[in-house]
Amino acid sequence: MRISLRNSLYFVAAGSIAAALLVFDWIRISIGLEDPVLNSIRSLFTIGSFFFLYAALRNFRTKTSAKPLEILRKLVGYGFFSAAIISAWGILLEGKGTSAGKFVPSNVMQLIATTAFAYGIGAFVFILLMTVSDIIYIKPERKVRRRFEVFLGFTVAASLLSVFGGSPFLSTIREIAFVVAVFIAVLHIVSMNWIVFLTRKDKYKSLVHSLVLIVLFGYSYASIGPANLAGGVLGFYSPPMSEFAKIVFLFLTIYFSFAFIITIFHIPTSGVFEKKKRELDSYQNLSKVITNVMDTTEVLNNTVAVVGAVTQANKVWIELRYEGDGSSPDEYRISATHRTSQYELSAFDFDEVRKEVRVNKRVIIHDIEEFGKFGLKNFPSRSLLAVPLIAHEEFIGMLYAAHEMPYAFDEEEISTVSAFADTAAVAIQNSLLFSKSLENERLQHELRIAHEMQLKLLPTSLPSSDKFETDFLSFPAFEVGGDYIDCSQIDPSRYAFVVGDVSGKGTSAAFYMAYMKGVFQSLSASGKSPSEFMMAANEAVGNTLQKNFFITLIYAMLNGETGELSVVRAGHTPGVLISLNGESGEKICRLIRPTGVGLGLEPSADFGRHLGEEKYELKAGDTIVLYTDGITDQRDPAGKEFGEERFYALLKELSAGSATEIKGGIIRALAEFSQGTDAVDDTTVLILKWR
Amino acid sequence: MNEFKVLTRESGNAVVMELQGFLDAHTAPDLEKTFSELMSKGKYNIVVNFDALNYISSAGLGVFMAYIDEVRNNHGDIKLANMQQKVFNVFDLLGFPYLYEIYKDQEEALKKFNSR
Repeated sequence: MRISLRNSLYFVAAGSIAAALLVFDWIRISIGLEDPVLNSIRSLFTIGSFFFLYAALRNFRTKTSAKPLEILRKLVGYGFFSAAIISAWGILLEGKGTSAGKFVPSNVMQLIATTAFAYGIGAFVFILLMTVSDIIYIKPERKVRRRFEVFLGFTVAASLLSVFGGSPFLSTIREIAFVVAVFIAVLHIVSMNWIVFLTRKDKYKSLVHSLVLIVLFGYSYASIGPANLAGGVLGFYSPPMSEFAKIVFLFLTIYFSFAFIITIFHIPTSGVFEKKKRELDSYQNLSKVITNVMDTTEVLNNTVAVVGAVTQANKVWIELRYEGDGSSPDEYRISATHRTSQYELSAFDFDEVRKEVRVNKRVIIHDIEEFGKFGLKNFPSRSLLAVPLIAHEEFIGMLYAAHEMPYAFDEEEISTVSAFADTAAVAIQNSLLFSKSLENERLQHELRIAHEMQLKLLPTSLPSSDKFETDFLSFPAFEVGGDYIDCSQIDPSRYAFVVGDVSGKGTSAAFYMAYMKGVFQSLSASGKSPSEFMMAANEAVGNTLQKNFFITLIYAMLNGETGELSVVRAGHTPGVLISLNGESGEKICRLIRPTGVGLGLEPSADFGRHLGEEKYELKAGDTIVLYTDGITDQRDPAGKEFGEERFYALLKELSAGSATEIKGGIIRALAEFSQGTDAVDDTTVLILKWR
Repeated sequence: MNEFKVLTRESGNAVVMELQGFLDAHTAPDLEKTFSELMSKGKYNIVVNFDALNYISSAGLGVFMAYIDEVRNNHGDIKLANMQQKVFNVFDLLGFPYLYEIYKDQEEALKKFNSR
């Protein structure tokens, strides 16, 4: 309660009038003055005084909570005090000051007691009225509010009319107002919304409170009737207040009598309300689950927990469908369980249930004998409900709920579970998609790293001198590839060039390519002859590769002083030598194709027998091109291959240029030919030009 | 478009395997399956007819490498026959003629088996 300046002024006003009335009453008693007109005027003054009291107390209506039980507790407290005051004053003034059936204080002490009683009861009546309005205004409809106001209006009217106690006509109107007020009080029973929403436990509490309130208010109403002493005391001091208090106590008695009865009527249905409330809470939980789609396991576990809470099923589980490929059937895995376990469920085959669910959208087994029909004999429950999980029209799995009682799932419960299944299915699907895209992203990232690593395995440039120049190009068809190109300077005059191709594509080929680099770098440095190099490489590779993998290699050793070139080839695409015919000036294209089997295909003894070595003396203007078949396998949009003939013709045309110019020409020709068609294989070309 | 098919039939003491279409990394597992079936049945005399095979990639070549040791250890052989020129070029480049018997006609290959 807030005591403001204004409230204090109201108190002062009420107190001043009360004090004035006390003096007046003392005089009135002393001289035995009894004048109806004067009494009416005095009554008006008491109304003024009570009005100020009401105004001062108005802030008493704290409205701190809308919890019915809290308000009921307060009402019990105030009701108890008001009843206590009534009975205390009843004892205090028993047998005193009565004259001709009416109470008239006979001395100053009794007068003071009377005044105190009137204001005490008045205050409690106002407080009770304000407190009970809190409970009436729970979940208020405008109708309820207005009805309560009308009730107060008639109550006040009846009280005011009691000022003119003598007139029979006004008495009749007052009685009509009283009856109307009571009638409206009774009407309040139709709007006791607050009872409906109580939990079962709170309803029992409410019953006890209502019973206590009926007793307290009933007693208060009966005690301040005109025939009783308390009623007489109040009637002496202020007939309007007496009328007002009477109606309010009657109202309260009626109200809580009905509250008591209505609560009893609502107890059987409180289970339904509690369940509905649980469902609502669970729906909220589930929407939280849906916004938190990151983790599939969490979504699944929350879903079974929510369904378990709502249906009170003693077992809930979800199984997800894993699509089989052509040869293997779809697989179902139990992905989340509630009050059961994968272990327990693994003893049962739900195939028949699934078949039925896919046809009829649900399976309900009501009692033990029906389990046999679905091949689930000895299942440890007596009811089973199964509904499909369908997301974006795709059947992604099943939701099961089992109960130990027969006929545990009624229509309402089934539709609830179905609704949950629909919502959960979308959440599960989303979380699965999310984790898939996360995994993809991770793989992409790994591949990018692999790509960068492989680029570092390629040479940045190849050696050149005043006698020869080189250039090369190498693009993998995918992020990583199996083409290999490298060079190493064996001694001041000799250089080893190598181009290779690992069978297969992608990641596995890339690993062998990296291995090949190690083999080449370590073997070429030892200054072996090309044939010796190739045999050692075959030995190294043969022991390492899987049977169905092999590496093709072309290895050229160049003497940078003399232009002497030795070439060995292990199953690789032949190299090309373009030279000028000295006499005619015509360009000649020769294939460099010494005999030799791919690395890793046969043991060293046989490999060496089949290996040939070819030697060339390079002349000014000669161009050597070593490459992998990715370039000749390149297709145009119509599916036609670039082919060897076209490649050789291109090289002839370009051979007058420098190594770098030839490279540029090859790239341009390839781009023009493919017109954006993706390469299917890695493309590598090494160009060596003798000046 | 890039379809692949393997047909097998018995001929005397050998099995003729007819390949059709495109043999690459995607279709190689089909051929592997056929080979391992023959291995499990103890059929080690194999003639592969390439007549209807239009394309072979390095992964396709690898399949023959994968089984040759097992076949020869069991006194059998894989003989190759009826290759189109383009397909033969691929085998030839790799040096397969050193590793396998390659025949123009499958009957020659079968005769070899039958004469043993």
